[in-house]
Parts: sequence; structure tokens; C-alpha cells
Amino acid sequence: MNENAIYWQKVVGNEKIKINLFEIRKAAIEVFKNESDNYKQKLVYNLLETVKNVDQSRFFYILLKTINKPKENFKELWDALEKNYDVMPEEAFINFAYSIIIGIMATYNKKEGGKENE
Amino acid sequence: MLEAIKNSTTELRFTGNWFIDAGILGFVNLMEEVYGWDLEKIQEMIIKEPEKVYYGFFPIAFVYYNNKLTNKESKKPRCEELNNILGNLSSKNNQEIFDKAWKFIIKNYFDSTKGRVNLRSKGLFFYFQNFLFFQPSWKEKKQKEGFQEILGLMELKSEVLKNIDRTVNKFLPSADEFSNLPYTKSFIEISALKQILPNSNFIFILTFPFAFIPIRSEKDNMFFYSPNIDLTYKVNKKLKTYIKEMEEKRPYDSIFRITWNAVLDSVIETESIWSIENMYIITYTLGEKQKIFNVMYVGIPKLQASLLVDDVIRENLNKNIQFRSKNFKGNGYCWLIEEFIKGKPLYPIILSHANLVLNEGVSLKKDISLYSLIVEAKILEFKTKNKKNNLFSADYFDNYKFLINEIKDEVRFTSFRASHINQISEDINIKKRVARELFGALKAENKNIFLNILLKNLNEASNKYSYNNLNNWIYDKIIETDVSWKMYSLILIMYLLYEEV
Repeated sequence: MNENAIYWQKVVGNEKIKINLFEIRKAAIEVFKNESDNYKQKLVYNLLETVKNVDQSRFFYILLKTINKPKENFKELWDALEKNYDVMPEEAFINFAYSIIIGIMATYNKKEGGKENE
Repeated sequence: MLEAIKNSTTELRFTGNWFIDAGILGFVNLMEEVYGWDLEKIQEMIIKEPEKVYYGFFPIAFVYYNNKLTNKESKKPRCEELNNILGNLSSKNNQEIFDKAWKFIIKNYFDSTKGRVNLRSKGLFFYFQNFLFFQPSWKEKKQKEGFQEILGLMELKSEVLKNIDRTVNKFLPSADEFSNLPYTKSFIEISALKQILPNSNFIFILTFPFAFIPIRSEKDNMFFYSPNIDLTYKVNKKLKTYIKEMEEKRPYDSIFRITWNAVLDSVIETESIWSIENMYIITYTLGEKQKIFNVMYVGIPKLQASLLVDDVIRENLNKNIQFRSKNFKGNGYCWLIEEFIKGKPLYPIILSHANLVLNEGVSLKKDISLYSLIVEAKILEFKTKNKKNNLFSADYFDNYKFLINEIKDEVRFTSFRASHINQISEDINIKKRVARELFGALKAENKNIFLNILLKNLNEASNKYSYNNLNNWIYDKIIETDVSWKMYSLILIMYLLYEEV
């Protein structure tokens, strides 16, 4: 993989935003793999709606509410978000959001130890 | 070419200026036409006896060729005969050689009623109307002097040679047109030319038109140019045959296609892929009063040429694809190689093609489209990656071999992964609807909406199958890349449409 492509960079003011899309997607796959498909399907649907409207605050509201479960293992995604979250210009946000969504979608039919979806 | 006179171990070589180089090729063509020497033989002659070639064989060939056009019975000069006349010189005196040659000219091509050597601006020489010794009022003595000036045997007197501009060649600008440049009368100054042409030998002015190949009529001309004399010579020679064939059998074939065939044949034949440097096709039409119009310079950049040397890529681009509606008056098809070489993007053409597939039931050209889009995507990615690098990078000298490999790998990879999109539904109508929605978003170049529609539809179908390959691919090719996402998105749409055709 082209290592430059992992990062999305844009200068905002004098600051350079650096987003590691690959890391975010990987974290999403890791933390959502044990959730049920029906649950994820609804979540993805809701997230997609917010991206469609480029509604950053709503997107993060839904996402953070979802992973705000200390007893479940969402730590990897918390860490990835902590490193990569920033107020983003629209373009950056879209790449960011879809990386998470497609990460969640990569876990369909993958539930470990659980019943395979029909 | 003229280095050779100065230093007899140096052979005929291009200068890098297409206009002078056309003259050099024209010189070779003329000598070949009259004496039957090919490039190799001329090089041999020039290395051995440059003086004899330039001051003996050349003027005779030039005058003979002109005479032949009006009088079929003109005496054809034969090599052995000329060798006898010119060859027994004790010293290599240029003037002496020319005097002997001129004697031969007077003996064979002199018009005693007019007191001048028979030179007419007919046919190929139309170009030289009223140029130096072509003027009817110039008698023999003056004509000889004119030749001597051009050959560098005499100090330049003629105004027309001092300022090499539009009067000498219609491709050059005229001083009148650029009156705001008071420093020089012409853009090609003698002093500058002398740097390239050490003996003040301006043969190229006379041989320039011989480089061009007439198409359909004597006034429409074309010439293939590359900075490599061998390739240029070979390609133009092939072109002559191909064009003749075309005129007899396929009068509507495109010159561009023929040229490209000639280039590829020459390159493959000589296995000299290295010789693909920047190449150009120059065409023009000669009109009344020696005005030229319809001048077109088509460049063939090295990057594109290198990719087309690859058999698989070339075969896939060497196709016509329908990109305009049936109702369109004119040519609804596009020859992809032509667009590609001209450096135009292929994406809009494939986009239009996909539109026709969606809306007019035109059958989908999957492989051609796939190759076109991936070639374009890879070039874009390559250019973005190398923005800061020099043009003459290692890749340039390697003829972009890695890029060819990357394109082929990507075709395999993408055709496998993207084809999974087809499983989104078994219902053709649903797939078509999704394709139509995606197409709308892509046409608007809206990545957000495109991904939204795509993921929403995949999400709805999530229970039906596992599409990990596709998932990774969408991330890699569409989400992560801002440069080439459109090409890959279009590939996805095409795979949605594929099964139904």
C-alpha cells in the first residue's frame, strides 16, 4: 500500500491535520466484530445519514454514544479517535467518516463464537 | 549532418530542432530517391568522403530531381559515372568538387534558350517559388552563386539567407509579424545557426520539403518526427508505403492510426524501445501563394508511448468505443489510442460510454473500459506521487516499466474484487437502479453522495453475502484516494451493469 495514502493531510491555518485513515478503519473492525449484525446495520444506516448531510456533530454524537460502554472493549477505537480527531474540513471529514463506516461493514458475518447470520 | 564535414568521423545526426532535422531527413530521402542509397549507405559515404557527398552528389541530385518532374527524359546521374568525374581529385578542395559537379549540371540540365539551368518551382518545389535560383530571371552564373552560398562555399550575400524567416520557410515567423522585436529581423539568426551548422552550410533549406510525405494530394503533407534519426527515417519510410496502401484501399482511414502503426512496427522490428523519445506528427496544407494552413503538430509523449509498447495495454486501447448517441450526427465512436496519445483523458469517454449502456442499451465494452480507466488512474497516481521529482527520473530512463506492471496487476486485482458488486442483488432491475443512482453522483463528481448510495445499498444487502474483498477494495480505491476515485467508481458501476448484457 502506498504509505502516503494512509494519511489525509490538509493545512488549516498553520496547523497540519494528519489523519491516519488506515488506523481508524482497523480499529473500527477490531471493536465492532463482536456486535450483532442487525445492530451494526442500523448504526451504519444512521451514520450514513449524518455523513450525507455532512453533519459532523451528529456523526460524532452517534458514534461516541455507541462506543461509550466502558464494560465493552471499545478501547482501540477510543485510542484511534483520540489520536486522529480534530475539527475537520468537509473533505477530510468524509474520508474519516467513511473509513469508520466501511470498517464497521467489514465485520458483517464475522461475529466470533456467535451464530452466523442467515 | 554538418559536423560530418568538419570532422569526418562524425556521422549524420539530428540537431534537435525539428525544422533543421526535417531538412536532414529530406536530404537523406533525396539521395535515396536519386542514387538508391539508404540511410546506412549515406552514413558510410559521409564518413568516408563528406565533401563529395555535399558538394558533388547533392547539387546534382537536387537539380536532376527538379528536372525529372518536368522532363521525364532527363539524364539520371549514375553513381559510378559521378565517382569517376568527382573522384579523381588530388586534394579535397570543396570548391573544386562543386565546380566539377556544376559542369555536369550544365552539360545535362542547361536550357540554352534561356541561358539558365532548368529549375522550376513545380510539384514538390512549389514551395520555392521565387526563391534564389528558382527565379526565372536568374541566369546560370547567378544560379551557381546561389548554390555556393547555400553550400557555404561563398560569403552570404542574399538578404533572404541572412534572415532566415518566413521567406525561406513558411513555418517560420516573419519579421513583419513581430514588429515589436527590434533586435533581430528573424528568430533564426545566422550567428546562432552557425553554432549548429559549422560550415555555414544551409542544405536543409533546400531539402526541407523532401521530408514530407504527400497525402491524397501534393499539397497535403505530413512528416513524422522524433529526435532520433534512425527511428524517424524508418517510420517515415514505412509511412510512405502505408499511406499509398491507404489511398488505394481504405481512403477514410485516419492518418494518425497509420502513423502509429508505422511507429510501432519500427519500434518492435528494431527492438529499440529505448528510441521512443518525444515524437511528433507534423501536417500541413499548402495553399495559394505558398501559404500554409491546417498546420498541426501532434506530440506523442514518452510516457504514453512507453505504455503502448506493451502488447496487452495496446491491444485493449487500440479499439473504437461508442461514446455518442445513435442520433449524433457524425462519428459516434472514439479511437482510444488517439485520445491517449494526445494526452486527453479517457475517463470522460468511458463515462459517456457507460451512460449509453445505461440509457440506450448499447453493449458494454468491459475490458476496454477497465484498461482505459486503470491506465488513467495509474498515470494520475504516478504523477501525483512524483510531483516533486524531476522529469528525468529513473523511471523515465527505465521506460516506465514498473508502471506497466502496476497497471497489469491492478487490472487483475480490480477485476476480481470489484466484480463482487454484482452480488448486491439478483434482480437486474435493482442493479440497474443502483447503477443509475451511482452514475448520477459520479457525474456530479460528488464522492460523498456516491459512497453514501453505495454503502447504503451494500448495507441493506449485508445479510446476503460476505463481501470482504469488495469492502477492502472500496476502502483502498475510493475512500482513501482523492486522485483516482472517479475511475475506480466508474469501474464499479460497470460491473453492476455487466451481467445483464
